[in-house]
Amino acid sequence: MRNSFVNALEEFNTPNTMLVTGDLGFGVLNGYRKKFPKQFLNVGVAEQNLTGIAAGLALEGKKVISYSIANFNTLRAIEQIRNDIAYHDLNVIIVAVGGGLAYGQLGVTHHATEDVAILRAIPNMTILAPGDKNEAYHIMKSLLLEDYGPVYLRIGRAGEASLYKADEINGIRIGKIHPLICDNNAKIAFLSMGGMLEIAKKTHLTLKEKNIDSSVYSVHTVKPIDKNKIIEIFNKYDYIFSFEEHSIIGGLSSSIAETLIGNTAMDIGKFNSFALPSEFTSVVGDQNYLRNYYGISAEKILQRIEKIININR
Amino acid sequence: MTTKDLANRIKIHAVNMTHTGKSSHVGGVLSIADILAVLYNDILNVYPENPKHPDRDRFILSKGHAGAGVYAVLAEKGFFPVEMLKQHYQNGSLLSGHVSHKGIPGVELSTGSLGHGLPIGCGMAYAAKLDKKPHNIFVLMSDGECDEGSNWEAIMFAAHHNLNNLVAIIDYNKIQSLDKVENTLKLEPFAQKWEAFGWETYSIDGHNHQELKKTFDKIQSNKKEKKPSVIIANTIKGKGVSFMENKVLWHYRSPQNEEFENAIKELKDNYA
Repeated sequence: MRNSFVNALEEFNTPNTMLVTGDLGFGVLNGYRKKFPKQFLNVGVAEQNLTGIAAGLALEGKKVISYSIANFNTLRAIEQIRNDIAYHDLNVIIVAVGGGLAYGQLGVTHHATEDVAILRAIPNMTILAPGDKNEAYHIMKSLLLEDYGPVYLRIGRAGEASLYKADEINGIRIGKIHPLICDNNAKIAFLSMGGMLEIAKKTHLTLKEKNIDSSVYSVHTVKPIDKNKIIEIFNKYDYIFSFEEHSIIGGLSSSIAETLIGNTAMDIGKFNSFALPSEFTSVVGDQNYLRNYYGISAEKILQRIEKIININR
Repeated sequence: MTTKDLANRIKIHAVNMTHTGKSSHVGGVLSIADILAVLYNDILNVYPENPKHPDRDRFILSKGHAGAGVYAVLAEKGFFPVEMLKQHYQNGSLLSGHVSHKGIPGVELSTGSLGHGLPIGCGMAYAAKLDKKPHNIFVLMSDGECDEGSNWEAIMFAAHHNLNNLVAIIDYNKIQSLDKVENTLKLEPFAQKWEAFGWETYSIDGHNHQELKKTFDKIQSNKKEKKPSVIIANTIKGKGVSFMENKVLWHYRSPQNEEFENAIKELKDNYA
């Protein structure tokens, strides 16, 4: 995802773009820096200043990409994001790499597991969490070609899978839930945010081997959420599961639940969520280890789905 | 209108506004009225009839709690009707206590939380350099605000990038919210700190209009130095109203009844 983001950035860069980093992106941003030296700015290890500078550049008409590891250019500078970028409705794209548990062994400081909740609560923000390299590329391309105001773009790191068929890639639209796999007879739907899309697809394939159909939807745009599609999905399926590498508080499952508030026609009992508990991990582990530890690996998810489906059958 | 006229009008507006709105921060507005008057009368290129003119100088009030002063100077300079100042702090109006850009011509930036103005000023100054634009960026800050670490990040950045189109002005009235600056978090040796960080540093009397103007002019003619500039403006909190001067109380207190009448009378008498 990280590389796809950079590829799109280099490809669709305009003279108005500014890439500002808080001294991160070793190896990743070198190409951009070489190609567009005047549009690259490393402000040093100073995320409050990074975010203020991004606002200042955007006030002068630049489209600014603020780049760092998740938590650093988000939580460290949350007030600058709220007051300087969001209140002034500026064209700043806050790109955070390592969303979720991508930097597993690096420890709790590097686990971005509340970022979506916190940023989503801020008015004017668009929250994007692409599910694979294709989404990362197309979303970044759209962000450069059009203005979306303040954006939080949560990406994983290098090496995520490509989950799209080639002819479907052009269907990726900011603001629209993308039906990645739609089984006509399915009674189960998966709604996935960010890099969990790979797990959602894997779960779909495993269920398929057991003759259980399921559909997979990518919710790359967490805010504004595609309410109509969510209602449609809730009307269509008997079981809905959300997948996210984020705290249970304030992420995708909260967003989905919020859209159903006051909707008496909706049965929220058929909705289950795979998310992280609201706690700091006390074990060390890589992304896969921690996913498994917290019950959001493909195996653990499958076990829980089977239990829920069997109980209700 | 002379800068003296303008400064006095700003002060009278500030007392009226904080009286009507029962709002705080009159002391911190009075301490910057002279700076605002000199800037808006003699220094800044501004275009009241076209507030977003690309060639305008950018002025940021980083000590957003003194927003009444900016509203007053903008109204006096014709950005919007003076009559509108009566709406300050009123339910349903646009003029919030901390300065807001929303719907108010001439306000460059909304502030209120301290330590935001200088980093944004750095971004604006960097953009102007990149685009080879001649305008300058002025950021007016409080002394207490210099406790905020974000400023020191920006101070390093501005010097590193030779932002000689950036001017910081510190309203050094030496009183912050609860106590004197020296009893809260010492800034001294203040000028030396800025110098050590690579800024052209000027320590002046922040109420002396000639000195203010001379310093701003000197900064303009000194641009070859390739350094950002800071004016440490030694000021008096509550300047112009004797019973408010140098009193911590007038950071928060709103002038009511006799206090209000005496304040207005003193400002009018002194001026006449």
